[in-house]
Amino acid sequence: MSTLRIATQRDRRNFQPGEEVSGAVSWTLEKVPKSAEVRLFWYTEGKGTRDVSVLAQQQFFDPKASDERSFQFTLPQAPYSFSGKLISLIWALELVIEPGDHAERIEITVSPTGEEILLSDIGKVTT
Amino acid sequence: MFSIQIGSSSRGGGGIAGRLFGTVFCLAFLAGGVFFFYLIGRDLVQRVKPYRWGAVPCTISSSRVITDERSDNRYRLAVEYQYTVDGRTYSSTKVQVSDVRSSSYGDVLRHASRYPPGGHLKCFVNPSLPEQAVLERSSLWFGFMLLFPLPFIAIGALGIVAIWSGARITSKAATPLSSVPKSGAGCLVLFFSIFLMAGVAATTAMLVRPLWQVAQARKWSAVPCAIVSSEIRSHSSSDGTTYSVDILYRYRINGAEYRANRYIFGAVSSSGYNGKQAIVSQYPPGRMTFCYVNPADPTDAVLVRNATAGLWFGLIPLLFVIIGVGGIRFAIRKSRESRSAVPGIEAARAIPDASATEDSESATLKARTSPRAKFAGAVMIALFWNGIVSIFVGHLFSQWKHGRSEVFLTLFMIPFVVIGLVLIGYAIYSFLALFSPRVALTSNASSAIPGAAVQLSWSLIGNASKVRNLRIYFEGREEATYTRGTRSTTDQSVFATIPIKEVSEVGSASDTVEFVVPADAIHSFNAANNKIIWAIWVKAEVIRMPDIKDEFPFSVLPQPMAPPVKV
Repeated sequence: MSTLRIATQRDRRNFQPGEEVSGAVSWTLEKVPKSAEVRLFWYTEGKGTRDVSVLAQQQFFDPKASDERSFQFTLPQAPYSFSGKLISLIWALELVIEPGDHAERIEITVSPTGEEILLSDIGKVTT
Repeated sequence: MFSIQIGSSSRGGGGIAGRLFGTVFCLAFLAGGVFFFYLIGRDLVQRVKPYRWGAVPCTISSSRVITDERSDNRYRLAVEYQYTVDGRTYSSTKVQVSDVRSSSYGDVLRHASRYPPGGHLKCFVNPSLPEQAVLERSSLWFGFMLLFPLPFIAIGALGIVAIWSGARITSKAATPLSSVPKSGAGCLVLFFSIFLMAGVAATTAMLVRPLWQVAQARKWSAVPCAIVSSEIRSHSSSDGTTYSVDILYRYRINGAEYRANRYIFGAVSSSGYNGKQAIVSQYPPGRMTFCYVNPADPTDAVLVRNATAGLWFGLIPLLFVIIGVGGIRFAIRKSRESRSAVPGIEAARAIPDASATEDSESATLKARTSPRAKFAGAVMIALFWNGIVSIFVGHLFSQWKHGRSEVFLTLFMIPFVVIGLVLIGYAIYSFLALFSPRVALTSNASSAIPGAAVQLSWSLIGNASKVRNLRIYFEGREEATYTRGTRSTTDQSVFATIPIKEVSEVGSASDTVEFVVPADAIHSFNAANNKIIWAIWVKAEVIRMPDIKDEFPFSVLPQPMAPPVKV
């Protein structure tokens, strides 16, 4: 039985562009893996064919069958997390262990307010 | 950073029937590719063999052109020669490993002139089997032909791997979402390069070379010649039967008799019979006429040296060139889009003041599609569609004219003809739009950050008195592209519309207005399949002319943020 875990510091999930996001990953496997890495990426969901872009990855050297490591990334300026009628853009951190395509993923939100931008609300509030 | 897109099938996996169908499709590609690779490879091996054979003196006994009625390339070079190996004399008729044939008498005659009877030359003899010999080693450039089946083999093999590896991945619950194959831009470029190369080669052979020959033949001399034979040759294939004109004629240069069968430059075999029959009737055997002979090469002759209407068929391969160039540009653009999905992301880091816009000087905004481009596109599509439809309509017309009632085909063709007429109508509409009034926009920025005020100047080009109900607004919309079956569809959804200017009667032909990009606006986003597009729209009614409906793309940049803060 394999167990994978990924967590951000203080379990924080809402970030602003340019901020650093850090945390820890841990895993327990039956065999020693060949590779283990955590990736920062965004992907789209909705009606369109999915787009995925991996912005950064951190590889863990000499991984053990049962291990715990820390990670740290700097978020880029964009794109923001948003959701509309056709498209949602979701940021995520993913721990990937090979062989076997073991993966654990958590979603985070990246925007100037730290909240997902709802396209239907744009322009509704005058500042 | 790398970026990719995944087809919807990679998530849903598709049904087993779909995968089997895809596998059969890919297997057909693979099998076809391997089959042609084998045929070309086998031929290449035969061509290479004489390069290992030794050169031996030989004497030409005879050389002539033989007519072989059974072959499409009916003229064959026949050379007989003798050579001696280890005191024993051998005789051979092999010029190359395979027969030297052509549909052009002149080409074979020119080749035969290299082997005058009584001439002493070198031939290449198989040391282990001396009765095997050739006069010429075949060109090894043929080896490049091996490259052509490779894309088919690659498409077939990779397609099967993709179909079944996709099935394996989707059966797993914890598939890494970020583990995805790299963009196939390279494969697309390779695929469309084949279109481009084929198009360039065919255009050169069918149009450029014949036109060049027509120009050269202006300097050739007219020589009396006699028609030897005159007939229509038919060529059967899976696509039906095509016909070509074959008129053999003889003429004398400096006392020697020559023969040729070139009627015009760039002649091709095609489906029309009656036109070719009329040509053949003009040149019955025994008739004396004039042909044109290249003064530098008496075997090079033509019966009619002018350019003919049939040469314009040579424009058809240009479609392959257009598809090739367009496809390569598309693949490169898609690859760039997937690498940088957010326009201005680099600039966003550098902007110190959140109220500032990108440009300080005024910029002329460009409409997404110019009236000229719309017209050119409409004409191209109308020509392409109606060009194909006209072949069938011409056939139908001919059938009805000869009293053959093709009722079913006529009914079947009606919707295609209607679509063709609509396309012609749209091309005419696009032509009229070239002369319709237009709106030019200039702005103090072609991009801006949320909350920025943008100065926008508009001016009418053309007759302003014809313009009514002018409306300028700023719009944000989502665009999602997806594939269902073989069709790629893009859905749009507008999420923000900010009015800028609305006038029912356009008094002056220009004005300056200001609008503010919403402070909570999402930045522009341009991934391969999903986009957030911001644009300024200009719409207006034009009396008795096509209305104004132009879109001017405008980038909304991400907000510049403070330096990174450690969490």
